[in-house]
Amino acid sequence: MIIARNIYKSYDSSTVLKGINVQIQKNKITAIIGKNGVGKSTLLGIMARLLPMDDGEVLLDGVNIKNIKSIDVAKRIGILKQTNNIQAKITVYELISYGRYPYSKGRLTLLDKQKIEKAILYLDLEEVKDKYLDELSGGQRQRAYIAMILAQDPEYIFLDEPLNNLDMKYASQLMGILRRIVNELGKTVVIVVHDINIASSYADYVIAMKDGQIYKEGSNLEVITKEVLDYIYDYDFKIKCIDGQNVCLYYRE
Amino acid sequence: MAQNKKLQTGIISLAIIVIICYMLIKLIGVRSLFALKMIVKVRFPKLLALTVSGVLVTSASLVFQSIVNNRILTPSMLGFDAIYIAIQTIIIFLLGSVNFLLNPIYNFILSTGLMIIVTLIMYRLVLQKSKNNVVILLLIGLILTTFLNNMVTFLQSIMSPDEYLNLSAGISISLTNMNLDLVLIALPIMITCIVLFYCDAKRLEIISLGEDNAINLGLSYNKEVIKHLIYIAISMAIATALVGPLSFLGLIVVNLTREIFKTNNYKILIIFSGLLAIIFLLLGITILEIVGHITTLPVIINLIGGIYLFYIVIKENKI
Repeated sequence: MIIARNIYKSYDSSTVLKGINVQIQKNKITAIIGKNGVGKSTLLGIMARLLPMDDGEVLLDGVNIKNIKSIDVAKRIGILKQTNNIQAKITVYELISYGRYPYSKGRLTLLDKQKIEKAILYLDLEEVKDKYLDELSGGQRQRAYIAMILAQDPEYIFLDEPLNNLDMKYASQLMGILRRIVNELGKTVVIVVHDINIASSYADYVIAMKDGQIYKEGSNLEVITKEVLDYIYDYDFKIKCIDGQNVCLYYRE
Repeated sequence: MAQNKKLQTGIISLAIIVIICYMLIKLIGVRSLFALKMIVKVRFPKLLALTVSGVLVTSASLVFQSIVNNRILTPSMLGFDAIYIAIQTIIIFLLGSVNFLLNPIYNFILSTGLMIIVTLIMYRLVLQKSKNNVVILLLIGLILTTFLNNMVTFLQSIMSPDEYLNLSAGISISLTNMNLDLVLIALPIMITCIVLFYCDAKRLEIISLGEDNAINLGLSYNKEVIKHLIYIAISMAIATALVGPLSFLGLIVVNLTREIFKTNNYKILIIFSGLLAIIFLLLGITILEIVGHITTLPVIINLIGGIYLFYIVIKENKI
């Protein structure tokens, strides 16, 4: 389990995170929702030691993440940020094989190759695995990056807005893949999403943030409610219950 | 893959041919053994100096591109050559009368040390924050180069004639006026740098994925970047001390290598960009010697490099 305790973070003059306390439950999909600039990505980055924090601590199974070697953290937490502007000329297969760096430092063993093949299979990249990244469509590229994280084989997979640039079909396909990763491989997935209905239909647990603090967390039925959403987004939502799931309507006032 | 092997063999053979041509071109028509010896004696250190600088400039450019994640920037464009020249000038201006600085080796060690410090300051102030902002980096490079060049001119004009004499020996270095005193100290440093780069090839590949991905994969990103910037500073100092600024050479050769091999395998990129740099420099000089020095090589490098830069910017339509 990952526990973040009393996390504070400010950039220059503005405080982004104001005393966050959160637990990431194992073997679940957790979605973090909230307005732009509310600190979702920052929280994700801090929990995966990409960003330094001003105060507080992150515990990975009870051990402060600062006291674990970065290379060992890499075997347990994998994170993908939303902008990945890689200019280097690399193929999909090469990108995915970089995911094995924490284990093999570049010399791929048989096990590494198996993990890479499995990641390619899971994200359905067999046909494009020898193409260069800049020849891919946005959706394929996004899947390739996620395959790299999957090949890295961490217990925790953090994805910062993985559905950006994806159309509805690819977005729900990708969420389906994440669901399988959690159910079949026993991973834990944390995503930052803007599409509340995606959070509602795919996440087990939802964390709603407002102004650098957690306003409400719980199961999707508890959090995706008119009261919570209206407050965190400052907007008037309509919530309908369809097939036992809360669906949120936010167009046409 | 098979095609890559052929290309590799091709480049290696071409490099050997060019080296032989460079060594032999002046020997045509020479009859006496003494003259032969003399030519080799003059020619060989020059060959070493060109090899060392060419290889160092390109590998430094390659590593730098991995750090800033962009194929247009090179250390020269961020003003590394200009920094070295400025450091030389300031050293002579402030300590011109200190005798031991006239020894080129001490002078070189002091300048390189200062170069490393300046590089690290630049890292803290500029690179750490905006290393992915090419426009800002290009702008800083432009301002830095212009500012430092003018400062050098200004300091020269208020220097005492003695100091100026010492200085001009240090900074008038160019491909036609190489500093051969340093070759013997530079050669082992070059070999060390290249071996270090080569051993770090995999880490450089991870660095080229960008800061977030590199940390995610467990790399101590800041430590690695600082280490490589120090290597870059040393490499640029040596190259500039030996043959003067080579400005666009790194850009041309590194991009050419990337185009030819279409790979992110830094072991291949380091070796073959080094070989291409040797080919480019030696071939250029040999041809100029045959046609009778109508112009100097830096002019040609900048001409080709400038056109190539235009090409990349227009083709990719982005910086």
